[in-house]
Amino acid sequence: MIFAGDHTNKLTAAKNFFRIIVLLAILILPINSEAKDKKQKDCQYCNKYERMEDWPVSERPKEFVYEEIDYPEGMFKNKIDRKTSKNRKSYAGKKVYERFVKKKTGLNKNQHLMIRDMAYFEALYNETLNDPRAKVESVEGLKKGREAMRMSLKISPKASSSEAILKFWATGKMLTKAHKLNKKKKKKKQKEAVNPDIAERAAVLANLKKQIALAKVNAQRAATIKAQDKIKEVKE
Amino acid sequence: MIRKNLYLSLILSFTLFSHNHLLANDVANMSGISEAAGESAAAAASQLSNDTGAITANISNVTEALSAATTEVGAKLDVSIAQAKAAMDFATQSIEAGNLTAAVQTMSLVESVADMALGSVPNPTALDMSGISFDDFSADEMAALSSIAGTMGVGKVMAVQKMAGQMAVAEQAGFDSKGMMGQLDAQGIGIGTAMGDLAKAGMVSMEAVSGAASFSMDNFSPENFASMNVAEMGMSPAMMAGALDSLPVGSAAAALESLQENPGGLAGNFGAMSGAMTGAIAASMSEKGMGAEMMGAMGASMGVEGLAEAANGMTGLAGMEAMGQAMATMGMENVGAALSTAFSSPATGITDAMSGTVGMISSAIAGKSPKAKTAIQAGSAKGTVAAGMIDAAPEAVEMPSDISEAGMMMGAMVMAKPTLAAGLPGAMAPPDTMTAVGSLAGAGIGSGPAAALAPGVDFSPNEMGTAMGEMVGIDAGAMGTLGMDKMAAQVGMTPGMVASIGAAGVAGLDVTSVMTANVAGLGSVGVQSLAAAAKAGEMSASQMGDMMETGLVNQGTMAAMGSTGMKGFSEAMGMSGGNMDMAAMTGGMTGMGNLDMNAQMNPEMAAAMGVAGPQNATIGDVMGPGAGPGAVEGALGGVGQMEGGMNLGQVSAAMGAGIDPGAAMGSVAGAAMAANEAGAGLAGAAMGAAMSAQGAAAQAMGSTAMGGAMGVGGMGEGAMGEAMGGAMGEAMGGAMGGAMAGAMSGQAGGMGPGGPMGDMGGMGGPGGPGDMGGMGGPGGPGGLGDLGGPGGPGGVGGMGPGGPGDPGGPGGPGGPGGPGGDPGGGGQGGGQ
Repeated sequence: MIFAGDHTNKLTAAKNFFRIIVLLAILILPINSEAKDKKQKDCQYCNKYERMEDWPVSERPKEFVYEEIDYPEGMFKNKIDRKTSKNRKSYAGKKVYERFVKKKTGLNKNQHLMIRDMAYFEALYNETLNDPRAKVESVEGLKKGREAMRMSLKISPKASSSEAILKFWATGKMLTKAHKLNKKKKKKKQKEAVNPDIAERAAVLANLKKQIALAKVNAQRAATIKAQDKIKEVKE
Repeated sequence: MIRKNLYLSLILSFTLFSHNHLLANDVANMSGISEAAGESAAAAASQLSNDTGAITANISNVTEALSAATTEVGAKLDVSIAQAKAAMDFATQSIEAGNLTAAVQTMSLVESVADMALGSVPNPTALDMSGISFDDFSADEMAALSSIAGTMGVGKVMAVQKMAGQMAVAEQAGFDSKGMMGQLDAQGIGIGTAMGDLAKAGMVSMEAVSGAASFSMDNFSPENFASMNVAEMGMSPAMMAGALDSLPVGSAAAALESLQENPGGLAGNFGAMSGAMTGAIAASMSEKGMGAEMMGAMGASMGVEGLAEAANGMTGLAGMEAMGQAMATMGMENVGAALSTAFSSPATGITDAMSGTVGMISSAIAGKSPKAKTAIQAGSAKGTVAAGMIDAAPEAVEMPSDISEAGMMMGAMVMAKPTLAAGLPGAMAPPDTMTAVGSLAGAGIGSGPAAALAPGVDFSPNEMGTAMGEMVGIDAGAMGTLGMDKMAAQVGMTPGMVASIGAAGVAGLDVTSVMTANVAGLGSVGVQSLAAAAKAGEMSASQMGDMMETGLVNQGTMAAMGSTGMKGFSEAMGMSGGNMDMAAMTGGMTGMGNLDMNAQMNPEMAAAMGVAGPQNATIGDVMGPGAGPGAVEGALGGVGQMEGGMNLGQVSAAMGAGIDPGAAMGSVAGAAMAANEAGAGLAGAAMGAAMSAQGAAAQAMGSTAMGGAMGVGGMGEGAMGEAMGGAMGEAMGGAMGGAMAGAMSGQAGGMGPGGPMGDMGGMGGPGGPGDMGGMGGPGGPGGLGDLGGPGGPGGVGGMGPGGPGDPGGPGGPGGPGGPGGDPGGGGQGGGQ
């Protein structure tokens, strides 16, 4: 049975996952070991430039060019923290470390704070671009992280840091307000969701949807199988 | 008099039935083409009949087993279940009459209705943004939030467009879909309710979509709404700015053309902001990578002077500030009210979409998923009514091992019209013939030679039939006997598009979404004129680069550009040889030239694509470290020449989603090389192209783009099944995997975000103000890559390198697991 609700969906997901892992293992592992032999790093520009100061600004894609940003009010509260690029980088780094390392296990509960602190991650990336001694390899790694974080609000990888910061900051502010306002309702919602009166009907509709989707796939498969039979007949 | 009326009715009925292709007997039509076509259609009908029988019985049993609802939400869901049953009964009758189109579209309507109903179910894992006052938000912040709302909500607008198209087809076939929606609206879960909240949120203008200030089902034309672009539906400028971030660049072009045709009327009460609206659209084009030369050319074809200049001051943060100022002229309290609805009403879909993507990332970094159970999870437990329904569900048809690509193409041609009769959502700017309006007028898919293609495609049915034969290795005689040539002509699409439908359909992808991404933008005159320029060999390398970067090279534009256009693109990219007629007709699945890693890309094209660094880069340079024959992202190391090249449509789709050109090319070329080595052939290429289109659709449409049967399995253990499975796996772990993961995590009703998706990698402790370590890139669906550790911030003193990230974990119930992203770079101490 393929469509047997979410628990079997999970099984399908796990199956697919293992298929992909096996496939990737076959494809990538030998290549990775070869790459290691050649001491290739997993980054694009770091093989050519070691530090940011080695990389001419004129040859950088715009995502690697530092942007002077007028940060949102309240983001760097103390004057000292916003005074120099180095200070901003240091302060943003602390915030990132605090949220995404020390308190990472609480992120599901504190999504509002996570989104707000993604603005600091953007700031950290941007200020690192201004650090001549920063390693290109690290900057490229940070950029990957930035793109992953941007997925949370579907912010384009091409968007400027300043735009992303405003979006994270404003959304974080909104979610924080909402969190304070609605946290008491959370338990009520959970209670409602598992109320059999609602839960069973919701599961019925979800399964109905999946079964219809399967029926459409089956129709095309049946047409394909019959067509193949007829092709064989003609070829014979 | 009575007799006269009777005759009149008979004549009208005859006229209606004889001219309404949606009332046709699909099985009989196929039988008229050939015995093989007829029997294939009959097999589809028979299977559909069996499955709908099982589903209808399931609903009947469930309805009996469920006790009377005791909650308001439960009562709403009961009404939707009852309406679903009525629709399934109609589908059953349609199948008996051989009308597969009516049956499939009515069934799709039930899927949409179920989705809408599930949106009303409380979801404890979702963000709750109700009741917020925006009084203390600045104009810039409001503009930023409007943009986010537009980005997150446009997928729901397209879901409603798809549903409206399905309503129109079902209604025309005799099902009272408007009556059905009326029943649902009475419960607050119908299309009228959705329209009302979308209008309050500024996602549509009620005046534009229904012709009156309040929604009336009688006045509502579902096919018209389904075919509208974002300007035609009256989306507010600030929301549109965000929506166009997600939508393909062709959508922006089509919106601008509509605005140009009707500058005052379309924006409704946003008339005062029309300048900002034009600027926002131009900025969207510019931000997606369109250069001044291409914008000039497009502007000229649209009759817009100074298009490139219109974007000045409207991009990035400056654009949001400008939009904030423009919004202030409307009254910030109105904007606040719109935002309040946008972020709190389930009907706008914004909460679901945002909860999905935010939850996916928080789970990925935390390494665990939220504890709270969704209603669906709770309701599917052992012993429940739903669990009984699962036991009696239809089984997936297993594909035998001997299926060939020819069979796949024939199956696709049988199901093309039934699957796509509701048209493609207008927000993505498909060609007019492929919209619901075109389809209902009898000009769409399944209506005859080249019917569904954009203006400018001039391959004859004969040429396309021959190409199809070549693709699948069937000679002309056999094609004729099987009726494949006539079927191809009747479907009215290129062989590449048919192959996409074949691959997507049997794999359980959402065929409508895949096809939408394949032809997005071709409804725009500006895009058509670009394709015509390429076809005439008059397109500069710089414009070609822009087309690649903005995602405008898709199956539709490739067909419209023809062999001359494809030759231009292929050579500028550094590929040589190939059969460009085939490349154009197959959307790059076959016929592409060989790819030489040491060949130079045209420098102008490379620059326009956003390839950084010194000029005269080789393909190998662009794709990754170790320029030249050495290594390309590791995966292509040692490859000097790659036969069969890479599909430019796939590269463009990835770049259109904002992916770096090197990563996009590396991912596509790597997948193509893996497919070549595995001997995947056409099926693998078609699946790769379909998955790429699925990724592009996911980027734009969110969860709406994901088929309910994705990952169904059972594709068979033969060569074709293996090839398709391999291509799916490659795509999920490739450049577009993240977009698909994000889309799958935002499904209505709390289907559950992906589960734990990999831990943060090891992190250096607090140390000096050194470099932060890298973080892994996004992985495939269900699997965000490990987030390798940021090195420690602050402090003085050295610190050890952060450890490498762990591989991403399996996906949760939201969808198939992904392989995780790139290993995170180690954090680095930077003691001073």
